[in-house]
Amino acid sequence: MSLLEVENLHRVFSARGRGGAVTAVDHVNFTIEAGEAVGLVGESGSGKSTIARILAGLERADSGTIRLDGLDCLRVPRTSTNRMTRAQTVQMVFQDPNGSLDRRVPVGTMLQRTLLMHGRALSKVQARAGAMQLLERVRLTEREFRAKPHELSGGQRQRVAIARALAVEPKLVVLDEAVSALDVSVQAQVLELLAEIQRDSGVSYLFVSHDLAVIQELCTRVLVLFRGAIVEQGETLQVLQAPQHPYSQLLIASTPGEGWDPERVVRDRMTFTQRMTLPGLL
Amino acid sequence: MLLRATQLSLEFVSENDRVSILKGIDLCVAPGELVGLVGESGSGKSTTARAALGLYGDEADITGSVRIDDIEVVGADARTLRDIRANHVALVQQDPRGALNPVRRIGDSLAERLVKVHGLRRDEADRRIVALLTAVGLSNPELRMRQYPHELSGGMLQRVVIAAALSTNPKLLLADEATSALDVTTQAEIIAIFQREMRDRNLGMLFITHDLHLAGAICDRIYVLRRGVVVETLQRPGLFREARHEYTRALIDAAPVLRKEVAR
Amino acid sequence: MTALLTPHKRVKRRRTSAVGYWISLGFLVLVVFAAAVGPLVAPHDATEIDFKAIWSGPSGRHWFGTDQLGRDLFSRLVIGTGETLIGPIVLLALATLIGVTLGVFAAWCGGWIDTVLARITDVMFAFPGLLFVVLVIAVFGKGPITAVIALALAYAPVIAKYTRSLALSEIARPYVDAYRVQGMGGVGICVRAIVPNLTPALLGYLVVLFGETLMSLATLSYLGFGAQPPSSEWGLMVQEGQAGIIQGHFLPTLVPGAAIALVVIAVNIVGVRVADRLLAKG
Repeated sequence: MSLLEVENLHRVFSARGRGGAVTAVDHVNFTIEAGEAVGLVGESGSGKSTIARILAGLERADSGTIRLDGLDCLRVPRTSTNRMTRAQTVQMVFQDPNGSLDRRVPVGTMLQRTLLMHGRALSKVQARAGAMQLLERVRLTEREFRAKPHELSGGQRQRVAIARALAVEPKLVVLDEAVSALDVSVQAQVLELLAEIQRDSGVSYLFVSHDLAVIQELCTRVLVLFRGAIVEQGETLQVLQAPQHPYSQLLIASTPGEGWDPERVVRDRMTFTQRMTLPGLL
Repeated sequence: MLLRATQLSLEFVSENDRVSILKGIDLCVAPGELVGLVGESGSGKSTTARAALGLYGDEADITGSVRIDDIEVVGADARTLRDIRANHVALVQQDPRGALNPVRRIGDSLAERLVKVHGLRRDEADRRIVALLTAVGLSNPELRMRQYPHELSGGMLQRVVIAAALSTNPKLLLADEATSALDVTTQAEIIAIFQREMRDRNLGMLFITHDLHLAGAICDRIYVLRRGVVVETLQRPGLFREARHEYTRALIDAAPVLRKEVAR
Repeated sequence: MTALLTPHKRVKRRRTSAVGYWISLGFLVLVVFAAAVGPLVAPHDATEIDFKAIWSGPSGRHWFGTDQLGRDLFSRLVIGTGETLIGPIVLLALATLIGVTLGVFAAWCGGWIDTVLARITDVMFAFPGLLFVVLVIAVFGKGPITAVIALALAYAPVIAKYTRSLALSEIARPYVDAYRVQGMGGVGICVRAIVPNLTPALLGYLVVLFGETLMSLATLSYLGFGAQPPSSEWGLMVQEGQAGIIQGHFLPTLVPGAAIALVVIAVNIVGVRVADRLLAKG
């Protein structure tokens, strides 16, 4: 049995005054095994953030099933017990390193409180030691322990966010564009850190991104999302070498690199849009 | 030479602090050239663009020279700066929603400049705008003219901003992370528009980005900026393959690129 | 290449004067001192009547002169400071308690709760504050305590609305989602994260509101609804000194009136600067 099983996940946002409802998640099916890193690639409006938020318990789904480590994770947890159980099963790292940390709280204190709240530490002394351990795991030091978020760099903040996610020892970490706001060199360091953590702890990742190249660095499998539906999934290298779906092909052709021809992408895009209006292609 | 910066240096001055952002930058852009300025955050790439447009006031101490179409910008008076911005150079920035007035219709925003600054009649201005909106790939341009910015998506809005930039027939385009907030498929289309317009109008363009592979794919020349200093200049056809500076090499190694072979 | 005559743009440095701030701060310190120890240091008793010296001008014995009963204006002013200032402070505290609770609650719950609370505050807005207070007093009788409570209820909606908009933008930040994913419940997040984070902005607002409440309370006392004789609350002093204006005796009205105005101005000057500093840090 897989760690995460998502079946027929569906979510429609009813629009008021924008003309018509939007199907953000369209009967999505996928699985994630223990210790696996799966990428979810899509452009804006594809629904990837919605899927991430539903898994983390921030957003509700209309229908479908989500079983995470045997736990039913479809609904937004309402009671304290449910919230805690959910938190200890799935965690999230957000895109904005600055906004996702409470700006009034020094990061060490924040980690301490998390450990105490979840019973991972039973005293303040234990919590402090635990928090230092977490920071060391993400290659930060005592100096960062006492710092408030605005005193840290973007890369450091994101590492703190990762430490926070790991504090409760979840089975799955959802990373929603977690490296998109970072500089290139910092991005590389954080990706390396994430890979190392996965090797050491066996935690699974759902790595949501618009950037296929970044996904390839970390994920063995990739899901291609278009307008709420998974149009292709498979081993990352496989999908890159031989994309089956026209959208995957368009996505790959749009990524800048050697011999890149934007004019060709424009033509591909036009053909693609024309074909997409024909029913039965998805 | 459309743009020539010589030993451009800039310091931000506050009550008790001087912060040096640019330290002696030399760069140039000739007509028909797509020149890249790449760097990480804090490197000073946006500051360079803004300094070239004379957008800094009392808060910045600038030395060195920036000449646009052979007109000096540093220390220029308000009239000269207005002339430069009206006739010689145009700027496209990252956030299209920040560049357009949200309470005015798109047609009005775009026409206002042509009418007030360039003295066109309103119907002439409208005709030019419709032609430009078509050129940037917007369907139904007459409808777009009557729409408000919030009715368009980010990608469509960035095309409007490009149309606005081109409407004054500048010789130099400054693109500051102009495609960074767009989807990768939309980015490709916007780049295609830039390339086509550059060819048709023989424009020069300074393309500022943090995306090395994008710069490597489209630029004729690339300046690599680090903490206010140009550490390396790369020329086509070699570009990043011939990078020698350790910073450039480190950046290129760190930037993920799509690999379609199992090469490791 | 021109090297020596390189164009140069010099910076003009502007120095912001803090003289007004320090004077205001000094003045407020004096006022607080008077509020604390007024009755002990005042030269005369507040109720010391001297029919031989009614309506007298400033003299060595009576620094600001006397009122219609021969009472020393300076002493009355100093002794009345405490009562004049405590009212707005209690009033603001009460209004803030009610207003912040309502505002944060409305912002967090959203939906119909928010709509209902918005309509209630709208109704309270539509009703002129002072009129509402007069109504309450008509029902419950006049007196300083009733006045304070009534005004607190009148000011709560204004604070609620402002808090709500601050809270809305705070809740939109990703760190709130991060707390939710960590398993924190709504109440916990509101109390331990949202309220502390919006406090700097709120404090700036409350400081300016203090001046308004001081004026409102003094107005009520002037109208006879708040402090009652023989109190030397400043608003009441203005009312009692009114009769002397026609006879050419301005000091009994001018002294307390000027005191009110000066305190309000000083609080605004100091408060705005303190609030800016707080906002800059947070």
